[in-house]
Amino acid sequence: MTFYMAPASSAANRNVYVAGRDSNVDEVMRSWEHKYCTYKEAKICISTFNVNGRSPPPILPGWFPSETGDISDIYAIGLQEMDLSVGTYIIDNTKKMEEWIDCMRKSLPGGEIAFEVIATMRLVGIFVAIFQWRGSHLKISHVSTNYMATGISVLMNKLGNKGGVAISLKINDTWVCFINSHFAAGNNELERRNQDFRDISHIRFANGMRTIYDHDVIFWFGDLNYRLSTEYMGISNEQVRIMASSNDFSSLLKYDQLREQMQRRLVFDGFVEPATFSFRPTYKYDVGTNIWDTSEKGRVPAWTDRILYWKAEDSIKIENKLMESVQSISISDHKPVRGFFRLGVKKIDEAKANQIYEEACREADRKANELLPQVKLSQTEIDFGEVKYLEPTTRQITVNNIGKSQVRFNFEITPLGKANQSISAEWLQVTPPHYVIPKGQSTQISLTVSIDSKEARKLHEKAKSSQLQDILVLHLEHGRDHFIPVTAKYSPKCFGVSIDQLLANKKTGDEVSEDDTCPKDLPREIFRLVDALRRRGVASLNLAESTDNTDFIQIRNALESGHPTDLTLLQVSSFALYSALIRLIDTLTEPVIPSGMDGIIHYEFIGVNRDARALWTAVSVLPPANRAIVEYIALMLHEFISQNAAIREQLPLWAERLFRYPPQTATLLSAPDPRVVALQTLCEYRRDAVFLF
Amino acid sequence: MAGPRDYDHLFKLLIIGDSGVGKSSLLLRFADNVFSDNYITTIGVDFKIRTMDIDGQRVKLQIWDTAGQERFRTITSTYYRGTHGVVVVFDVTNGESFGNVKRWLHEIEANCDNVQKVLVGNKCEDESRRVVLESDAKQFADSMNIKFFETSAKEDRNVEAMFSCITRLVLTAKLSNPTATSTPARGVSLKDGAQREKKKCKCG
Repeated sequence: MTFYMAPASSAANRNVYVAGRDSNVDEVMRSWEHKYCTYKEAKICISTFNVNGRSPPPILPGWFPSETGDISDIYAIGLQEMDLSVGTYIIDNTKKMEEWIDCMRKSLPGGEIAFEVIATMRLVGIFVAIFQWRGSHLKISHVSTNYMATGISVLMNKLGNKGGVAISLKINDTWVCFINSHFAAGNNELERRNQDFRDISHIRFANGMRTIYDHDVIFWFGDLNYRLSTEYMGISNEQVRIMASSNDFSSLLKYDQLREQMQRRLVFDGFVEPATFSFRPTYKYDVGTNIWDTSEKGRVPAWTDRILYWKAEDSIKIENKLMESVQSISISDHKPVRGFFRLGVKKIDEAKANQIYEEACREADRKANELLPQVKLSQTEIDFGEVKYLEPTTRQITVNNIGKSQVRFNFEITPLGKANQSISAEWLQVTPPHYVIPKGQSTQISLTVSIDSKEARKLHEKAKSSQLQDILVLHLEHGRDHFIPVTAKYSPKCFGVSIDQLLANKKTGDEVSEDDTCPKDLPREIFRLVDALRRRGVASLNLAESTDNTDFIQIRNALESGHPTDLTLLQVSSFALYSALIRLIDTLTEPVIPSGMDGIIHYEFIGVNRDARALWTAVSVLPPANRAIVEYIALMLHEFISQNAAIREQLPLWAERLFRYPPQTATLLSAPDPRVVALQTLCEYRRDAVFLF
Repeated sequence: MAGPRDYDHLFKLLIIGDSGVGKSSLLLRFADNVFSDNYITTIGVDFKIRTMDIDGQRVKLQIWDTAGQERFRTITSTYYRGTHGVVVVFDVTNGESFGNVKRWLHEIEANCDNVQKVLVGNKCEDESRRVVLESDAKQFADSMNIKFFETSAKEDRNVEAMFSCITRLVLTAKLSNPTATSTPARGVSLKDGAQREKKKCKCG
């Protein structure tokens, strides 16, 4: 086998189209029907008649007009109350049925020999028969029947006083379903009638495989028993009768319960009837007359007898040529209704269908792919540029839903953020993490880089370079994933750096003035902050004050740029300066009093925390810069506490910042924090004073 | 009337290879039968579906197109899970992309078990700029025991044949050993991948 050749020509073993295997392909094939089908017109006549249990005369002249010579291919005739005798419920008495079939045959145009019975179906008094004219060239096949009994009375339940009978068949290659039904009677039984519709619509054919909606067309007819809601509108029976007898009878249609229920889509959704009726209500007459019911009950006239149709596709051609009642037939208290339809029935050319099958598969796939959720991002990559400590920066991405339906997205936990089950790196916040965008609309996603003290320290440990990188994974539900690379540059100068870098700043910093009083080993940033606080005086330092980020950014910029050298010139409060000093110590990558590097020194501090001499001895062996910072801060605190007693309360805070880690030796819960005691001792006993003795 | 599902088999295919070799173009040609000259680099992981009838069986393919750029390698490797077949693509006009095929094959070894593969040299319509000889690529594929196709997404050459070959390989493998192939994930979730990783850690 060579791999360069295409497999055997697909034309040679072309695949065969079998409907029902893939609903997406079926849909395409249906919409392409004109490519492989030819169409013929089928003339169909439907009639429904509640016969009130009467025996039929041998022939009912006028039931089906024959004088025009226009004979339909198919007649579907539904009867209700064909047999009201009590015995019918128990014994299957076919005598009445046979009489009626005989009457129908004789009443059809052209006489009884002109027609063939295709199928009949009976449920007690509900009966349907389908006749095909022998002159018709249509091929009828796949005939299947079923029924559904309804009704709520325990005694009468499922005995078939109400319900429906149905016949499913194929005319050429068009599936048609005929349903004749008798719904619950009575003015107030509207909901029961609706339930009858729902129950009967569950009829299935061919071993339950085919529902009524698996047909191309449904004809649904019968005594549906929907009445006029005139009573509730304050219109009397007498007024209705006058209107029903007048030429304006069709204006009563606006009170028709079925129309109203259909408008509310409660029943017969998608079914069609003529917009208006050209015939008077078909119920209820005195038998043998055209006079409205004069019995004791005196029923209000209504269009109880109806013919509706439904089609599966817009493209199916069906036309209702005429709908009328037969006023001249008076054997029952109802009048028969008949409708003439023209239905375009199709004939499938199998060869042609198979020919376009492959193409239909491709089309179905193309459509399925089109339906996949799609979004467009305003940016596919975000570069924050330079980001700074405690200066959050936000960028927006617009997500446009350009797909065919609403889209739900979420950010996924990525392999990069897996450790902390997070959708992004710790320095990056994404909002919202998930959202639903309606079709054609858009939403904003905010990405914020913010580096706080904790993050600043961590980044220093992790980042080999100053480049921050992350990749977000935006996942569309049932769809693709977008990657959004995010980069930022973080090069801290004085916040979030090591003590060594602070010292390096000092060397590369601006020219040192002659009157520089900054101690040799002390980072200049600390000196400048403390110096500014000193000169402003801390008596007025309000520790309860709050400071905002813009103050901090001013101070940070001044520290980084060296301008102004004198921080007292800044329009910020003393508290802001004081806070900046604490932050500076707090964001150092290692604590001023090292623990990891030199545990022994730390231990000594803890162990000898009340012995000033031993403490200062321990300080003296710290690296020069660390020593300088401890000395300078202790001196500063000593001074400040003398000016502002409230600052004494700050000692625990300072101790925590300088030592950072809790003592490793176990201490009693009630005992004072040894770090605080140590710092307090260092503040109270100045080094020079201690060593005088 | 349709059954509970519209297919007999659902397979997940993955297209991998260097950035710019034409992975998205191959997918677009195969799924939607279109080609665009505008190059848009895939930043993410896209998929399309295509159904095929193979020997009377209806096979639904969910074909994933991955970002080829090096910087996305760690993330894209999480999408290999549940894959039945991998299409490794290089560009016959780009020697480096052919050189990197070994790395991509290694990536498959590291992330998949029981997977079918084909090697694809794309852009074969551009003879004047060809740098990878067909015979060299074929020899390499033979040595790795993989089938090889030269394709042109642009001129629709061999694309259908290549995809139907990998689909047949997957189908044959499944039919000969139905339990070996993992059940496909309908949408691949990174979360699942993460969970699996976690389990691994616990075990070992």
